[in-house]
Amino acid sequence: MKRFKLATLGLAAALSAAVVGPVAAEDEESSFVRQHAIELLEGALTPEQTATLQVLANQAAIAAVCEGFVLDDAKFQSAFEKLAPVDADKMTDEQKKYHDGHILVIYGVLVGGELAAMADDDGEACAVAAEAKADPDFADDMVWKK
Amino acid sequence: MRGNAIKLILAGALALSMTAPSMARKWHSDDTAALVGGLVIGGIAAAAISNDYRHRDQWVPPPPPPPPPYRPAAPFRPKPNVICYPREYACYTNSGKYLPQWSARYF
Repeated sequence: MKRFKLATLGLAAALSAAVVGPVAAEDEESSFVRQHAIELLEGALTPEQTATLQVLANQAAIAAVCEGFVLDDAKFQSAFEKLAPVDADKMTDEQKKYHDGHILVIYGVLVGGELAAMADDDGEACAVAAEAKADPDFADDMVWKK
Repeated sequence: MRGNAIKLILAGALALSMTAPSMARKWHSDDTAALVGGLVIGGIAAAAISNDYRHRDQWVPPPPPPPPPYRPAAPFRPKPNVICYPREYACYTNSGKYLPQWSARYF
């Protein structure tokens, strides 16, 4: 019986390792901060807006670390406006103000996470960012100057 | 609400039956039994008619089941060297670098 239990445990461990396998691709530090930041959002943004906030935070961090990347203020502002609450018409001015402040705090958390992830080796992050900058499909979401 | 109105009517009728005829004759023990019986039957009738009353064997539809816990979709690879994690709304290279262009495209 004990042997059967051990065999079951071993099989479960092997299976979970197989499932978790591809997860190893995510950067542990960046992923840890990202998941907590998403939790701290408490559903204030839609999934699409959450992705946009992260893309903006990444581009801000890249602009701070990598040469050849400068934020375009107008593009950045326009992209940030997409993070307005989807039910803004049902919200009071005070609630909207709280939403904006909330989003800014989480944006700061995400930029911090991106910077921490680049602390050890920013070379690859800058190379990846250069690829993104050259990708025509990314043009609409890019807030760097060309 | 309707039950309360019926109770009031019953009480009024009982009160009338106690006052007007009792003037004509003396109160007997039979009258007390009738009064108690009337009150009991009236109470049962009022309770049965009341909207608030629910029979023990009355079928009540069960409450809807709670929504299932949120489970993000499994990670996926749009390209061999790109992996996306729906729980993070983020895509990475195989070495773990965040890919803004792929994240923007898929989430």
